[in-house]
Amino acid sequence: MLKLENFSICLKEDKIVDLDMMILEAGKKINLISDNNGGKSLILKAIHGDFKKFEGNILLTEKSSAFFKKRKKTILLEQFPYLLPGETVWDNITLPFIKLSNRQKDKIYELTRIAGLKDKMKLKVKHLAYSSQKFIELIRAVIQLPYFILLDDYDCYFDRLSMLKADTICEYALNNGSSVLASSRTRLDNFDIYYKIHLKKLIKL
Amino acid sequence: MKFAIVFQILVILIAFLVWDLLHISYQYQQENYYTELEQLTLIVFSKDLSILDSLQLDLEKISSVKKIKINQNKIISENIIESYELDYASDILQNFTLPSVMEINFHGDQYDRSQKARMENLLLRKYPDLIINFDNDLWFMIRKKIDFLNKIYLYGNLIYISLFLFITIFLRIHFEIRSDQYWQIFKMSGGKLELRRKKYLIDSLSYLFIPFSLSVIVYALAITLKYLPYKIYPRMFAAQFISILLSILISGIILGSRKK
Repeated sequence: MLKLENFSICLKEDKIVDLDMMILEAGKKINLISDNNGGKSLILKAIHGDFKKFEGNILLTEKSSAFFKKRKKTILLEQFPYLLPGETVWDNITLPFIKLSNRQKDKIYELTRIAGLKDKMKLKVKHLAYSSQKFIELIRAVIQLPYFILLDDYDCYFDRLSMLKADTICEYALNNGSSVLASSRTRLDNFDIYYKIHLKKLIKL
Repeated sequence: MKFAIVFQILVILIAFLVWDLLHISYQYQQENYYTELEQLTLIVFSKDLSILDSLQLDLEKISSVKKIKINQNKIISENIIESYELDYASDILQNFTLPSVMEINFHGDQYDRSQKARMENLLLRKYPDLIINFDNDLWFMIRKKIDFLNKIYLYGNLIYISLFLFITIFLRIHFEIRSDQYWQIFKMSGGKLELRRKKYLIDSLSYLFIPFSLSVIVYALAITLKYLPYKIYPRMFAAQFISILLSILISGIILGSRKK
């Protein structure tokens, strides 16, 4: 479970966002809605550990520390795709793995089939469209089963049809105890909980 | 990244082999000069053979002396008569007392200035009456050439080590910086960055041991198959090993937190 308590972000004495409490339980999907410059990316980065100038507490409770040693805590997908353009789809998906189990390999094939990438596994990533590249990143994150998958500006990745495919891909991680926290400018379908940053205050809808 | 590793190993290996060649050329030239020195003979004349015998005993204690040969006066006169067909003058020659002759040759690598001074000291103090013949000018000329060769070798090695360090450090830093993007993507993909540290260590060990081992193997093969007339001093290999170790350490310090 992820818990943000008395959390606030200030940049040059200007308060960007403030929240009393936000809880994300295992296997749940949260949609964090905000306009541009609302601070949603900073919240995700703070949870990921890339942004440290915040006040309050980010608590990763419920699970023992041994759990975090075995499993990746968070994986953040930003709007820019972090892929090796000269490498194949397969190489990019398996990049963080030292060794892959047969089960993981099968799952990769299954998820790439859902994303429509199964026939493009040997293609170099630079030849693929933006949404395909985001699918690769999403599959790579999902297959690692981290504690949290953080998706920044999620509504920019896919169109409506692709979003449904992405939801199906995320299902695998959700069913295995991972949680998804996706930020967007508009309210997205198929999420369990919705939070909105309104007048610099994070409120639960 | 595989290209970077193979390329760097290849560069280091070539640098080591060129370094070996430089050393072998130096040894070849040095050996030539030593042979020239060994061919120089110090000749001592004495009418009293017992003095030469006594001198021989003293010289046998000096390690730089390679060969001592005494020609007795009787044998010399016989040789002269035989060589120049002077049978008719044998009676006349027997009336003269020819001196006995001692020929001394030295080890080229050992008979340096201090050894020469020691030899001259011995001859002048203990055997002042002996007549000595030695081509001092030629000896000094060859010795000067050896000194010059040693100087070139020393400075050449220093310059070569500097160049070697510059090239290997530059290549290491260049390829590490180039791999930054890969590691950033690797980190963002969820990969553990400890892997970079591990890989850096494994790469360092590869640069340290693979080219060095290959260089030693090539040398051992060349010696076994008798392609090389000279053996390389072990200190030369030690210098190579220390140089690459130094390169790895300096690169590590320069790269600092980048590899962490």
